[in-house]
Amino acid sequence: MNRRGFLATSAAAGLVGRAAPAWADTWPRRPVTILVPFDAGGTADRLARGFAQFMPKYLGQPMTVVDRAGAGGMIGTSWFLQQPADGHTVMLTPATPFIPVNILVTHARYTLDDFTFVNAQWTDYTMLEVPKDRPWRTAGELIDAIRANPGKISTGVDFGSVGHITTMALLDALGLSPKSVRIVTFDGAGAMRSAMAGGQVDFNIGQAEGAAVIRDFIRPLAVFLEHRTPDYDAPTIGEVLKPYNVTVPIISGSVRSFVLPAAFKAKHPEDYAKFVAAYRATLDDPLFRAWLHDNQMAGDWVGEEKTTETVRANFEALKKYQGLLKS
Amino acid sequence: MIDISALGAALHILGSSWQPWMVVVPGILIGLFVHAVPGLTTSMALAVCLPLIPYMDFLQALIFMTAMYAGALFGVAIPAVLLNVPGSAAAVGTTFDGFPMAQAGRHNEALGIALAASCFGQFVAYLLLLVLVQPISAFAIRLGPPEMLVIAVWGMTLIARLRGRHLARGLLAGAFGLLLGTVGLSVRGAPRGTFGIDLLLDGIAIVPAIVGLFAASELFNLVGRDYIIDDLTHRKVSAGRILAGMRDTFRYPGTLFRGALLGAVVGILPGGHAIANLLSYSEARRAAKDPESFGTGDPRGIIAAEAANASSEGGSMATLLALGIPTGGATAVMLVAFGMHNITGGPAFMRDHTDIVYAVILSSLAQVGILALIGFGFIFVAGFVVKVRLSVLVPVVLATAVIGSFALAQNMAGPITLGVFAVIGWLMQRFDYPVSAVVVGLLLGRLTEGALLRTYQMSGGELEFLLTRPIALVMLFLLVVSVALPHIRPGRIKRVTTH
Repeated sequence: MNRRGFLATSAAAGLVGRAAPAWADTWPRRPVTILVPFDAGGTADRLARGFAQFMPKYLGQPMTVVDRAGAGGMIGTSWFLQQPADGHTVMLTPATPFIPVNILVTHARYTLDDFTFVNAQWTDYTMLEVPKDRPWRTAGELIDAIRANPGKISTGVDFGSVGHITTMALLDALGLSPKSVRIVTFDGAGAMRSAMAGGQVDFNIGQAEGAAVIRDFIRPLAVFLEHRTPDYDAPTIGEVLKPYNVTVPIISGSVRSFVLPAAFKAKHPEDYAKFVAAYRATLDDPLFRAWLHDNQMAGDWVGEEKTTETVRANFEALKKYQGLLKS
Repeated sequence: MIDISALGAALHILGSSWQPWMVVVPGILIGLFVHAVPGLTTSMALAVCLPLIPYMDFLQALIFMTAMYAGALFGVAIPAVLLNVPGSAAAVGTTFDGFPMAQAGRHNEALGIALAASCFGQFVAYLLLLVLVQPISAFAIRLGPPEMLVIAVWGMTLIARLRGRHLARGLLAGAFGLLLGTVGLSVRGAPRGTFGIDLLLDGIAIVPAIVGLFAASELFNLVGRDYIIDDLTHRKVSAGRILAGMRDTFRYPGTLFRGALLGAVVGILPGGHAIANLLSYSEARRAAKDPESFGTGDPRGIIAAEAANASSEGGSMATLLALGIPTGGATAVMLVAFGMHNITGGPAFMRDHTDIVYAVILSSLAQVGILALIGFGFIFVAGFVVKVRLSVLVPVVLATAVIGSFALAQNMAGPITLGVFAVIGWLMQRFDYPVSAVVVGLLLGRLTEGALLRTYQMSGGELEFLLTRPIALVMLFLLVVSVALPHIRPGRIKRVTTH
């Protein structure tokens, strides 16, 4: 679309948006709340504020962001499910790992079937890294060092995170017992990153995106992806594990997605279709794309089916390795 | 250690435009006001101001937030002195001597002392930051769980000093507080003491609990009386006496400096901000020749608590600016400004934007002067609280606290916590158990447990591990000396006199 055409359509869309009455007959009848079950200023909150700015013109109603943090997203998610499933409250959250962790680790009173996972719009991956002052240049050297000195090398984990599960799965795949490393459990990814920056622990598997802050303090040894990434100079975990003839499941790190109550889609399929249409139109909006780009956020479209599949796969992986978390 | 050219550039940015300065006064006022009302917090003020941030440039946004914090750091002292209700955990130490002073009719002086000590603490912290921002941050990340554990244990010795009249009741209250501090999800993902209530998974909400404990134990006591100060002639608001209090602060340079330096060091540690005021209070009391005067309205108690509280944010600011790692609530919030302006913190930021870092530090130094002026006017007005009848004041304060606690939690968890702890506080007061020991336990419970567990995990159960942590060993040595010294000295003196 050329510049003038794009301006014309967005102006028209803006008019349509403004023309819609505040209390319309069809969904959405009133302003839509985007619930973020984490604190203001986090990635999900910032993404939600972007939608609150760009999506109303396709939805025909204003959108407001509400943050309700607590218990790894569980407080906000429980509150979300207590709201009427009429589509006037939607949730934007890193659907995995938090919803599966809520269910499996902290015994939330909801199941995956309570949600419709609209689209894995922005997915992070995990990475194996060591503090820069440690001697290991490759993942192979680190693995050999663990084998040679069982119980001497320490790893920091953010309890119940994908990085934690991946750590346990990796040890398991290599035939190493959980006791072969000293597992140090931190309260949240931030505390763990500080510990990595200070060299308090010997290695860590954690979110690659979050590690950008401590990039100068760490040496990446492997990325948990199918293919290498230009972001970090490190081989994939598949390449690393080839000589050992083993594999580990690659669990997506943080999958940020709109999440709606399953009951909404079941009871009001046309309204749900309207939401998805407005959402896709927003994703295609060049202004929104520019905003995403400026904020270093992704705007992928993979759809509900693929997203649900990812969430379920992560849930199963988590369930499989849940026993290992306790050790 | 100061990058002179960057400092010049910073002076140029700040001197050539009035724009960065525009946000200072509103920032300080918002901070003061929000924290002077028991129950309101910075995160709530921030939620209100968040939409403004994208309209400011990056430097302006950072200055706005530091100004808000400059106001906030002092604001919490106002209800602590006038009502014995600390606005946050950071003002608990201020209540110990601040409120007795107010009750004795020396509220003007007490507020003046708190303001001067707070300004001085902030000034020292930012001065240290200006000269040593990089060494401080490099030192900060060397401090890990073992060092944190020593600090936490040091904090716990405070329980014995806050025991009140009965040692056993003090220890019991402290243990109760520690136990309450473990409520919620453990570091290993196990829910404890939650009775199946999801809202308790993050632990007991600290601010409503503290307000409840203090409000109940003190405000209910006031109900039988007409005014905070019994004597009518003392119920005056006097600018001259506020100024006298500010001047008097500098008659205790030792207490002032020790508090400011201690706060700056403890503030570097994650979670250190909340306990800096208590540690400093405890040390000032230990160092005093007449420790029994503490708790009865001793100016040194306010000075120690306020100077340390004010300087503790400077320590955490160092790690934020130089490393992009927040260690306290204030700095975690400042990262939002980084996020909204799409700037990644960390060493690269410090390297590429040294001028902005210096500009923030310099403007914070200037803010101290502005805070002294605005704060003076603010406490002058706030002082009129002593002229309000308690039959009006107590319900208003309690209602504000309840509303504030609801706004904080955005659900009934806040008011319920406040209510439950009000009853606990009243009962404890009634049976002569020290409420402050519970607060110390509550603040330290989680911190201590996490640090202990992680130290054990890192060591793999081997005691030799401690030998690889020289900083922790030095701190442990200092702790042992500080605890043992008062018990050794009198003994020796006695032996000398008997000969």
